[in-house]
Amino acid sequence: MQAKPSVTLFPTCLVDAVAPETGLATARVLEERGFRIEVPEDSTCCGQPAWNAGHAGAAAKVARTTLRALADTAGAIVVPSGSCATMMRVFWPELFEIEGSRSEQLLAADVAPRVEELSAFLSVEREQRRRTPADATATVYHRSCHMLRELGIVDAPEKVLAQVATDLRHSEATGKCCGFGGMFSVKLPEVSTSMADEVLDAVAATGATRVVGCDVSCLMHMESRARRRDMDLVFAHLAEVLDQDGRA
Amino acid sequence: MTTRELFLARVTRRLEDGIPDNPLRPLLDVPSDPIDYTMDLTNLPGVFRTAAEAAGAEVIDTDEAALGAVLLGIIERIGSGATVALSDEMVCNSLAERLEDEGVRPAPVLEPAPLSGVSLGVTGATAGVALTGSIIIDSSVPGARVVSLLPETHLVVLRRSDIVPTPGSFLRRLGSWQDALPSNLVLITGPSRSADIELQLTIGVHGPGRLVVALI
Amino acid sequence: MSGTHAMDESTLRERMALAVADSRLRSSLHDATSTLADRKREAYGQIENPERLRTAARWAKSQILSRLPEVLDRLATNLEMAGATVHWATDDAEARRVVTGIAAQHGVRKVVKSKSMLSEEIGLNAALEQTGIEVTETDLGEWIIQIAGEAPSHIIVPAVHKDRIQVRDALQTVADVKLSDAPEELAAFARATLRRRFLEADMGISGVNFGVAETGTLVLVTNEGNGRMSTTVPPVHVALLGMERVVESWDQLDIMLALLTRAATGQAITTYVSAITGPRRRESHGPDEVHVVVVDNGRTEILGTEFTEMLACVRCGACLNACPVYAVTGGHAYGWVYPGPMGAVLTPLLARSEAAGEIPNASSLCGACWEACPVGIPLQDMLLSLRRRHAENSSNAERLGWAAWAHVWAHPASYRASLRASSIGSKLIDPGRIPGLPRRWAEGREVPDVAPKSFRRMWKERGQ
Repeated sequence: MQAKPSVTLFPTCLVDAVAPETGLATARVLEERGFRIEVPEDSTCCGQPAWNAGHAGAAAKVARTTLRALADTAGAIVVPSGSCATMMRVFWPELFEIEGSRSEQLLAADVAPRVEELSAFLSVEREQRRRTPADATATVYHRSCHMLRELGIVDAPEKVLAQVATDLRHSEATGKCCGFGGMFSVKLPEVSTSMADEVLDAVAATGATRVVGCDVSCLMHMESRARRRDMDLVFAHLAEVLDQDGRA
Repeated sequence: MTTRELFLARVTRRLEDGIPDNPLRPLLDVPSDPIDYTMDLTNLPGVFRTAAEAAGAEVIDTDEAALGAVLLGIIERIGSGATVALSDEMVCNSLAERLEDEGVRPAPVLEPAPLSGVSLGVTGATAGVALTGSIIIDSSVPGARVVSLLPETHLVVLRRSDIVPTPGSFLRRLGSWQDALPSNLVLITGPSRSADIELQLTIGVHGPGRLVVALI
Repeated sequence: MSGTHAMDESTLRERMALAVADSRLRSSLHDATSTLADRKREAYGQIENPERLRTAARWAKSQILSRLPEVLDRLATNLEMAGATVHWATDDAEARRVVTGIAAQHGVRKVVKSKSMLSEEIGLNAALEQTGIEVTETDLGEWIIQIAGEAPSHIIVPAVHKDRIQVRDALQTVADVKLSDAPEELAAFARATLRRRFLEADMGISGVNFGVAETGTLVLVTNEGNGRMSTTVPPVHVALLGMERVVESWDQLDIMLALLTRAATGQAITTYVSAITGPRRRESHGPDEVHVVVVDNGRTEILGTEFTEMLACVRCGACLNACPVYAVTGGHAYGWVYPGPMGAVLTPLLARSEAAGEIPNASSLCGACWEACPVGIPLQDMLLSLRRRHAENSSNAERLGWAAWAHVWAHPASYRASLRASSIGSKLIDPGRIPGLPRRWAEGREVPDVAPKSFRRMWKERGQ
């Protein structure tokens, strides 16, 4: 029997701490598609929180731990987070250029291109899904900024989502930032929540009751605001929606 | 007091080490070639008319012989008390004669008195631009600069053969204008406008509130 | 930098919180920014390959900036050949001295101004008024805010934060008759009032959209005609030129102009594009003298650094219209002359104020500005760089907070241990040590539920 291909799963710190179910759902979704999952024991965080705040030294200190753990792997590194995937693919080379050693720069040059955001990874399907989509929840897909503009992932998530969900609605605020932005959410909290409101109001205007995204940070931020406003909305990561379908 | 030499020396010093590369956002060498527009620009007067009207101008298809009648028609529509000023160029000089025949005395243009109260200014045009519906006024034509600016209505006589396809077709030639450039060339597209109040379009702010283009 | 600006009198957070709570402002901004962004998109549709045009513009600007001394030298030579006088101002104080000097020389009592952000930057109006000169802004939006005593809140539509009733209220203070709030009537009032000012003015002051070195020409784009009036009627024209606002050739001018008008207002071309080459000399009409004041005021310091590309900015305002932060706060909240993403980059680079350091925080780094910019400036990269600069230059509690965070999360064992903590705050180790961080989250949002087990724990238990 042929060995299953393996992929590395880097869960990200937010999945670890706040949304572990998303990590498990991601693993199951990948396993259902025939992959064997490796989670490097010694990976921690990609360093983005400090990087976005302008503290490159602190970011590098944490990122290099994860870099070294991932350098020991081969093949695709799947990440269920658009912003973390961006940090690693796009900004790690710059980070280690500023704060890293020559050998770290070489490792980053090897690791960065192997990082794949989950929906982009899944959209390259070898076989067509044969099940009919059965999830009829009225849904808006939220396009997270980094994966949209830095990774250029525009249609892939919705194409993947459309394989299982039938009622996808278009929001006027598609492409608008939810207002999380890391420390921005607590440095300028009033602006942050106002930005969330712009997005949430546009979602509500479509009649949708669910928001699906590929970034736990965005989902957590929007959900926190929606719950404060008692809005009739649930928030789910793409992996969870696919996983539900897989287990149906 | 900073001199040119001092000022430029500082700038030169800053550039001694060049400008840092940006590997994250690499620069691509793409030349400033003439722009490809999506619009079909084969029928220049037709494209001009559509664009000029979209910008709020009135376009009258006519010929040189009928210009006098066109002018008198506009004056009549403005009403009694209408005053007219014309720039000093061939097409306007024959119109001025026609006005004199009808007993209309054009307002003086070359004297210091402003043309502010004048109802109608008449000029020719150096060229027209089809894509945008623009006409071009050259300040070396005596009176043209202010006759096209101060009166309420501006009537421009534009020859169809002087219409070029795009702004670039005109602008890119300015580097090799046969004499020195005039002190003022202006591309005029429609009547003056503003959208400063609630982004609502209002026509007729400081320049002429009405632009009429007579195509000959 | 002269005079005080809002950023010296309040914190960024205070100004932004005030702005987002103003529902009238929010409504005006929402409409204006979405309308302008839509018009831009439509106008770009007139171009076969807008991305390629953007790339060509970015390349052209990089070439111009790398040769800036030569370009300015050629521009100045050709300006002088056309009969203009060229002045060189290292900073804002010198620029003010030059202009007030020209005014004094000509016994100027009345000035009309066509829109110039640079004149705001150098605090010119106040300097002229101090010498007893009456200064009238003639761009309708600028005139409205001049009367209201406010700063512009958008670089293209400066009075966008005011609805028609607020505009009427401002103009009513200088009107003898009762004004309605209909925009056409307000504009007609502006036309009649400002016409007198144009005709009585001794000097006209304008900005310059592009200086074309090839022929020594100043290019001005306007819709209202006030630019033409200010630079035609008064006997003296003073043009303020930012040293970076130049192109080498008319070929480059063509592509920059095509992008500027579409990106700013969604127009294929503005009503008036004036190409001014010197004073009138033997012509029948026009100013007798044209003075060009080339202003540095901190731009040379930007040249040659990682922020060089910021000097490519054409002041179109597209980034403002795309920015989700600007859309809910407007321009005043940024606290200085230039708002939105371009202002968040320029303020720490040009404004000489301690308060400028926090302005780059007015961004979630979403990148919409970069996407919108017609010359492809990576604004979000620059905001991040500026945050790094700010972090390096201050030994503050925030640094220590991040160091502590890094210490725990750089080691897999302590990282995993931190995930076992019982509260969200201690899980994420409160990086940045911002006072009251949990409170700042919880003011407007629920606190996310604590996951009883981390993903790693669950993965281990799954037996992998």
